[in-house]
Amino acid sequence: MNLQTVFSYSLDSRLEAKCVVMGTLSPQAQPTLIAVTTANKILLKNDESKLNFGEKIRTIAVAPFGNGYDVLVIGTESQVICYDAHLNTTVFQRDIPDGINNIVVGSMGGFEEVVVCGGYCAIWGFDRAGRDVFWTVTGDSVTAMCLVDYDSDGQMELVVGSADYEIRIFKNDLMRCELMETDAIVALSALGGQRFAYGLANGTLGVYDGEARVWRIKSKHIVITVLPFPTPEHITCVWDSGKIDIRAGNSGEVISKEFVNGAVSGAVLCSPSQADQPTQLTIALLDGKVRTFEVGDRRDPQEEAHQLLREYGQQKHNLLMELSNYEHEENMSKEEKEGENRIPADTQLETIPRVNRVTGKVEMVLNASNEVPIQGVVMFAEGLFPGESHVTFPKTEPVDTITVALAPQKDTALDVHIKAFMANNGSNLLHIFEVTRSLPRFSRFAILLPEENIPEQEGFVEFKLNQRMQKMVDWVYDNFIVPDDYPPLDNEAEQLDVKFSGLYPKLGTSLRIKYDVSQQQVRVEHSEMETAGAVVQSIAEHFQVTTIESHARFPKEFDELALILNEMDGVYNAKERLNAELSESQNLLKETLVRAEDALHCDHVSIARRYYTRVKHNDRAMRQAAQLRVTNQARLVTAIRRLNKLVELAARLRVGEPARQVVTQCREALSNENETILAKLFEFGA
Amino acid sequence: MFELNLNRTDFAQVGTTNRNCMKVIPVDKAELRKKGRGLDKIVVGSQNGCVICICRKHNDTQIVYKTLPGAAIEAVCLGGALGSVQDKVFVSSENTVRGISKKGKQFFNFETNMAEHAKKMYIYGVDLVLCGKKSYNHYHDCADANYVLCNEEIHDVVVLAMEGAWGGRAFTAILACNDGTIKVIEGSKVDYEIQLSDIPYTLYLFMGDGGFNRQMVLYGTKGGRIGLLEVPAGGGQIIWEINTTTAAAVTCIICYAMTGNSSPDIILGKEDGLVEIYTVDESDKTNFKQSYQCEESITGIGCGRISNEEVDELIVCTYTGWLFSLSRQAFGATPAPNEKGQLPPTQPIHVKVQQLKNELDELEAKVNEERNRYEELTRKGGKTSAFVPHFQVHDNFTFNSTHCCYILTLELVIPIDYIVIQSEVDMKLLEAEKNTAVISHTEAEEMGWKVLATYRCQANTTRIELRLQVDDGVAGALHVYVCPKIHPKMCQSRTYEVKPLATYTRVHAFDVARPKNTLSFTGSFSLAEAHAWLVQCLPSLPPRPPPQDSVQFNFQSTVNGGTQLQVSYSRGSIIFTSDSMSAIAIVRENISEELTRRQIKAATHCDLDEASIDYCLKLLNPKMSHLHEVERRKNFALALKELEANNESIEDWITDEYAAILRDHNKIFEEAARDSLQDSNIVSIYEDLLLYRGVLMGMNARGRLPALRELLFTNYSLENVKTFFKSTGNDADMKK
Repeated sequence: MNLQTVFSYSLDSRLEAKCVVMGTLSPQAQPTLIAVTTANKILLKNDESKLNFGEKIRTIAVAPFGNGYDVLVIGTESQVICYDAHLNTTVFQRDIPDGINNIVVGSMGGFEEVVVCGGYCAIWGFDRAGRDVFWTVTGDSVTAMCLVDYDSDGQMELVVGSADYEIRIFKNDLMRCELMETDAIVALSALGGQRFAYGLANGTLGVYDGEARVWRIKSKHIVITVLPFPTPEHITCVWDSGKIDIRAGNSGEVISKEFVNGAVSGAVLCSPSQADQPTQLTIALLDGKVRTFEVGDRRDPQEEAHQLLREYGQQKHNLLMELSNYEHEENMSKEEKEGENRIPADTQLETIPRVNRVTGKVEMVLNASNEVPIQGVVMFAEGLFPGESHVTFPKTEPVDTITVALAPQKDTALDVHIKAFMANNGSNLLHIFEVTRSLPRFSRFAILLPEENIPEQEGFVEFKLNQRMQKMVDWVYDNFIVPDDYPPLDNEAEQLDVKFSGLYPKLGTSLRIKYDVSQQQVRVEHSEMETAGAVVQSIAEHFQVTTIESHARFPKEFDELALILNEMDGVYNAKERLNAELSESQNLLKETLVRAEDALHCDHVSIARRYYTRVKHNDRAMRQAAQLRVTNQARLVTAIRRLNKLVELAARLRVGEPARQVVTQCREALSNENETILAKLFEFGA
Repeated sequence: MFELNLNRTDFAQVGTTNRNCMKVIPVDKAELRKKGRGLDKIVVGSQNGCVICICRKHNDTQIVYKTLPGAAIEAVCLGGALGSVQDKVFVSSENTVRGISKKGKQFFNFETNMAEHAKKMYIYGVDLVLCGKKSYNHYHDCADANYVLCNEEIHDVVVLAMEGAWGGRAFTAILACNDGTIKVIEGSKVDYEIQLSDIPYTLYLFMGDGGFNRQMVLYGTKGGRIGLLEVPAGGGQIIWEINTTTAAAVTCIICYAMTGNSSPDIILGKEDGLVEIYTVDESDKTNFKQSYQCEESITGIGCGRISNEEVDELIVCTYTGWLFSLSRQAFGATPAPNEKGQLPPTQPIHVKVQQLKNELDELEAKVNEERNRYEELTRKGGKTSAFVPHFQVHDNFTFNSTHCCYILTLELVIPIDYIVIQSEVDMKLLEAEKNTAVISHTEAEEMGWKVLATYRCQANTTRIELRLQVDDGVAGALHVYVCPKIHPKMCQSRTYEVKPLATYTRVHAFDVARPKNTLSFTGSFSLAEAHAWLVQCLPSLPPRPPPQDSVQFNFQSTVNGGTQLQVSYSRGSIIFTSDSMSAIAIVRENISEELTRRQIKAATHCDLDEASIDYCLKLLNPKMSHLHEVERRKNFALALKELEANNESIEDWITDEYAAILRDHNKIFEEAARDSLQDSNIVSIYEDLLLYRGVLMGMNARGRLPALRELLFTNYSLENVKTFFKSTGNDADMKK
């Protein structure tokens, strides 16, 4: 199958990225393309009128809330507006101080129709009247969302991608699952059933089936959107560069490619209004050009066979090359071989992950046998380096050992694909030795000997866990780098007490994990709530525990909470005052202007001049006030974001229902202005 | 004009080929007479020494003959008695020329006395022309006739047809030389040279025979230009020269009526895999018609009727040895009925696919066996040395003035897995449209390198193009590790030298009227030493000095509006003259360093002309003004668009200029995306000029850079910059 252009036109305006939707905005109308221009206007195709908004629009969506037609849902930097273009009325409007990044509309969990808005760390759900039906927090700015029935229970779950590389799946407001990725999530699309596609900022595209990743590929371009088109078995990927490809949904194999000239803003599907019409794919470019495609007939089977022939031909060629190399080898004389400065055939490469306590970094030590010099090392790993790879070349004469320092930025388990270039010095043909090593999740901590001491930790989290000591010890070995010469942990002991010191970038911190079998109690001591939460989550995952209720104290974060709550009061007051001042000076200005014009009409030029001078003064004052409002708003937004983040961190100290309860109750406390109990919720849970 | 619908049909995979080693053999006369019909055949020589002749029957490729492997085939030519069909195959390898009969037997063998390999060959009747790297040899009936030794590498050769009225002229050959000239050789002497602005790489007799007067030659250059020359006795001229669609080298040219016009078309094959077709009108002018993109660099093209007597086909041969045809006939279309009017039996395509698949499986098993055997070997230990699989890297590292950066192309016969860049020189890795590899940088400074990066290629990439932007003045080595998908895993390292004045190219003329700065070195060094130092600084110089007592070369910058540099040297003296102080400073830095390193005493004398600064600024002005204008129009376009969105019929009250900008809104944005002040490195040229002038005058001008940048970005005008340079030049406090 291939894509065929049906028609193309230009909207004659430059468009914002990812602000393109398709909707039927009045009864009996055809679906139209709706896009946001760089001048912050909403353009409706086939319609002369443009909708103006004072605030910067970040995202738009449509919701079937009209009587047989769609209404627009607009997310701006401080509110969400549901607007009925047909009746020219606002259905509802809600203030969201730190703005909206993403909107999805649909049924979710037990809710029939819900508008889900993703902001910074927080997610809101509104019903068609704009009432709160749902609120939860997530780890970072929400960058993509979609609705998927991930557990096949007939109800849709919310899949949220955020800037902290994680995809989280929520059943109502209960977080069911976290999927770690290797870069910020930029696109999520439901593909029907349990499957959904995701795109990352580093160019990765992949498909999950429930919690399992089916496939992924990486390109130098970034995915804009993935659509379940043209059949349920296929997906259409639209890339920022203008590349469009149709792939098999279950393997990612490219079936057909197309190209549009220019950077893409967005792509949408338009379902046929009549059954015999095909579904159309519409691509809108940043420069306002729009192209609509339909899927053409299957290609000539002859051509496919030719493709296959060429592919096999290439494979045959590659294999023949390899064979001829073996033949060539056999025909070479000993002298010729020696002339090439070869290395011994039984050369081995040893790789040892090690913790360097002096530099505070994890190191990978490579040792070659037979004294073969290691000329250079390339490591490929997703999410460990700024890019996908790390290159090391010694500046001095290469020798048979080399050390590469690693600095994981997150608590995630990683696979490092090591490729070492080995050859005698002076040779331009280098052998590549390939080894894959995995780094455990908490490789940023170095285990300490039992006799070593760490400073008393202020922060801790405690929870009940009924496990055998053996399994707990296994967990430690699985998740931390434990050197071979470290005294073995006792599988039979009543108590486990392991101490760690933090490595770069957590240098200077310490971590202590205690487990008491008889009391069935785990205690994690660490100064930061985030890492402690990660430990709790890791234990829950390892032991398949679905509920953990815990008691926690993290003075640093708790103090910060008090500070934020304190500041927010002031900021809210200031906001009200500033808004009151604003309307006051607006009125004053209006009045002065009218008077000034009056004076002009009556030829009282000198009085008019005085009024205009006053207008000028007012203008200056209002500019200053506006600046104040901006700063105040910025402070408010920062505070709210941090607060949301703290709520999320508190929730991550628990697992399952208790975690959900913490979020809901925190939300309730905030909306009831009962902030004092927040600290209690953080400490003891709900 | 509508486009031809070109369909690709793969014929064969013949192994790595050199340039110009594939020819289409015209249909056999005897066969034609006997049957009244016949098809053309294809002959191709590969680097493993095999010469393969194939034909097409029943929609399938059949091998007519295949010779045994041996020394690499360097060139393949067709010959025959003058006036008859040119269907005899001649191949050159090492310094031998062989003739191969229709049955694949050797009917002719001529071992020349050449000291180097015969890289290029041309056959005309009983005249044979062979060119090595630098020598031109003409043999008449296998006897030495003429010999010319060039100073520079010869890239291609053709011989003018001499029959009929043109016979009065001595045997005339045309050489494409690396010094940017086309040399016309009559007998054993160079009659004259034609100077080009680029290095000629490929030659072809216009229309296959030299045009109406038999004296017209087409040429293609390394920078992707093609042109037409007229080369009568005594002096020639360029009739036209045009750019092709990309800046990659033109590797082959042929004339053939492909588009159905009355006159033949010009068809090109290029280094970057493009096949381009140009039509020719009555006045010999040419127009681009269409192109076809193939993924590998092209080494040969030919035209003929291979599969069907009625259909013209374009035959393409690639570096890795794919031989395919482009024709208007669709895939698997029924071939013409045979003489009895019946359709020949065609093998269903799926049978072929299955056959190939079986072959593959067998091969795979064999390869696995070998792999296991090797695996065993590595475990056993002992004194055996590791197995080194060999693979060729076809690479090219040249400065490209259109993109203002080095272009490094790497091509392998097997898919590339990834490439590692390790550079001593600071460089920016630019985006190249055709490069789909994922790039990843490593923080390199702490390890003492300037750039470390990987390019991980997508599946089945055999050719990759990298663009590397380097500032003038920096020099050093760039190491590239090419890691293909090969077993056992192996990579090859390559080293390329980045030269400090890479942006300069050789030109033929030097403008003496410009204000000039001169720099001279006098001391006890030989001409060869002086030449060696120059080779380190400047591109496209011959590796050895020309056999003269004093030598002169002229250069011109391709990026800064065209400042020039002239160098004249002889034993004990080198003199540089340039209107660019930057160039003078860079040369001084590099040569002084070399002198100190070799402990050669030499007197340095530097004569500066302040007026040259104004002149440089004037040269830069058109580009700079253009970039500012683009920026300005873009901002206006943006603002006007918003006005239009908010107001009705603004065309009624805005000025004509603004209305024009609004109308061209999209065009302006496209232009701005292509050409922006931020992305261009023009600002660094200004900065260099300021810094290098400081260096020459013994001042440190680094402190004035922010002011200069500010001026260039926000308040540019030629006068302003001139004043700025004047005022900083007079700044007493900047003196060291």
